[in-house]
Amino acid sequence: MTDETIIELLSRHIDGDLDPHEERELTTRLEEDPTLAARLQTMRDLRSSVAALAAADEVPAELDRVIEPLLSGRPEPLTTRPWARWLATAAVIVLGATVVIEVHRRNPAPGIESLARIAEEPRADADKPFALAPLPTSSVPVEEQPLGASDRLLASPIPEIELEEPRALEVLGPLAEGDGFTSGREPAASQRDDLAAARAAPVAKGTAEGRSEPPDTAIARRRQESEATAEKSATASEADAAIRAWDAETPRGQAKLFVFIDGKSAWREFTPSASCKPGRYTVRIVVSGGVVREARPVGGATSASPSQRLCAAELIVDLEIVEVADGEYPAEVVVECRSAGH
Amino acid sequence: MWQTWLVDFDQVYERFRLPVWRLARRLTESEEEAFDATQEIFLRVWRGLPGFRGEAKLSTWVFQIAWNYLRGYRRKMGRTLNLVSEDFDGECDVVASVRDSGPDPERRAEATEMLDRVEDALCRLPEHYRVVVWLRDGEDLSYQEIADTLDVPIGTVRSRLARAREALRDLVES
Repeated sequence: MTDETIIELLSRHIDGDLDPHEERELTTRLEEDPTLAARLQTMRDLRSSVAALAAADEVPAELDRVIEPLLSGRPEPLTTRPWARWLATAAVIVLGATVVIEVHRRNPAPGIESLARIAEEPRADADKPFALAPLPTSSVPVEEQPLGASDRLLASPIPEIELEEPRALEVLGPLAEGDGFTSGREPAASQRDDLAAARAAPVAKGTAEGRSEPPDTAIARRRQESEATAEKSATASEADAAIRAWDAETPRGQAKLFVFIDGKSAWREFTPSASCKPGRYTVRIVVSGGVVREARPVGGATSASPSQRLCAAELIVDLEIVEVADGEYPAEVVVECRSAGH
Repeated sequence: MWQTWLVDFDQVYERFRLPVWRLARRLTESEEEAFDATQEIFLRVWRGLPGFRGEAKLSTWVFQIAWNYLRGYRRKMGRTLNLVSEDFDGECDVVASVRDSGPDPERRAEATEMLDRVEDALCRLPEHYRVVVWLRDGEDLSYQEIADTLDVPIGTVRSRLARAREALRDLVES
C-alpha cells in the first residue's frame, strides 16, 4: 500500500467515507504503526481548526446594506403575507403542477375511463424517476463575465420582476364527498379509504393554513382566489399559450405530470387512455430517495361529460413540501376539459 | 418566474450569505476583494434564481456560482497557483477577530496561534486544494456535493482532498 493510498484512507476515514473492508484494513495499519495514528490525529486537528475558522467568520454588516436593493426588488416574503401565500398556492394549483391529456378530435370515444384506472395501467417506465431539466447555466464563460457589475447594480434601477398570473380555473367546483364516484366505475373500498384519508390530510403540507382549514373550504377559497386573480390576467395568458404550444407538440395520448417540491421541479410523461373526463381527483405523490417517483390516483372520475372528443386534462397537484423526505403526500388533481376549438 | 416564489432570493441570501462570504474570503486576498466578490456572486444568484429548477441542490447551485465566479476572478488577477506557494504575501487576516474565545489565556493564545498557522497555510495552498479543503472542512459539504460544485468526479474529490490535507499539514508544521 503506497503512502498516498494510506493518506487517502486516513482522509476518508475522518469523513466516514470508508466501507467496512477499508475500515478494517486501516484499523490494522493504525495498530501496527503508531506514527500513522499520530498523523491521523493531526489530520483531525487540522479539520477542526478549519471548521473553527469557518465558525468564527462574520459577514460584514455593510454587505447586507449593499445587497438590500436586490432584496427590496422582490415581493415581500410570502411567509409574512398569508394572503400572498394563498395566492402562491393558487398559482401552484393552476400552474405549478399540470398534466395535459390530449385526445384527438376524430378519435371515437371508446368510453369514459377514470384517471385512476388510466394511471393504474402498467407503464413501461414505471420505475424510471422523473426526468429533470438541465441546470441552466450562463452561456458566457465566467472568465468573460464583466467584473464590477455590483457597482452598476447599485446605480441602476431594480428590474421589474415578472410574476406570472395564475390562469383561471374553468371547471373547478366544490369538492363534495360524492365527487369522484358519480359515474364510471365505483372505486374499491381501499380506494375510498385512501380518498378519505387524503381529503382528511392537509392539502398543502407544511402550511399552517392547510392544516387548520377543512380541505373543502380550502379548495373553495383557493378557487375564489384564483378566479379573482384570473380576472386581472390577460385573456391570452402566457400559461394558456404554453399549454397550447404543449398541446400542439405533444403526441396524442401523451401526458406530462409536473410536480414542484421544495423549489424543485420534475415531470414525467405517461400514456393515458384515449379519452379523459373532467373532474377532481385525489392522488398521492410518492417521494423516494428525494425524487418524485409516482403520482398514484386514489379517486375516481367525477362529473359526467361523456363524449368529450377533444379533451385536455390537467392534473393539478396542490402540494407544498418543505423538505423532500421519503413518503407519500396527498395531492389534489383537477381534470379540465377544453372547448373543441382549442 | 413564478418558481421564485418557492425559492425566494431573500431566503437564499439569508441562508448563504455567510458561506459565500467565507468562500470568497478564502479565495481572495483581502476583505475588500471578498466583499466585491460576494456582491457579484449574489447578483448572479439573483439573476439565475428564476431559472433555477432544482436539478441540483440549492447549496450546490449557489456554491457552483460562487466557485465559477471566484475562479474566473482569480484567473483575471493572475492568481492561479499550481504549486504550493512558499512566498505568499497576501493578506490572511480573516481570523483576527476570532481569537478571543476561551477562558484560559495560555490555551487561548495557543489556539489563536494554531488558527493563525492554519489560516496562513490555507492561503498558501493552491486554489484547487484550498477550495476542496474549505468546502469539506469549513462548509461541511459531502464529497458528492463538492464533486457537483467543482464539476469533477467524486474520486477526484477523494484523492484531491487527501493531498490537500497532507499539503496543509506540511505547511502548518513547516
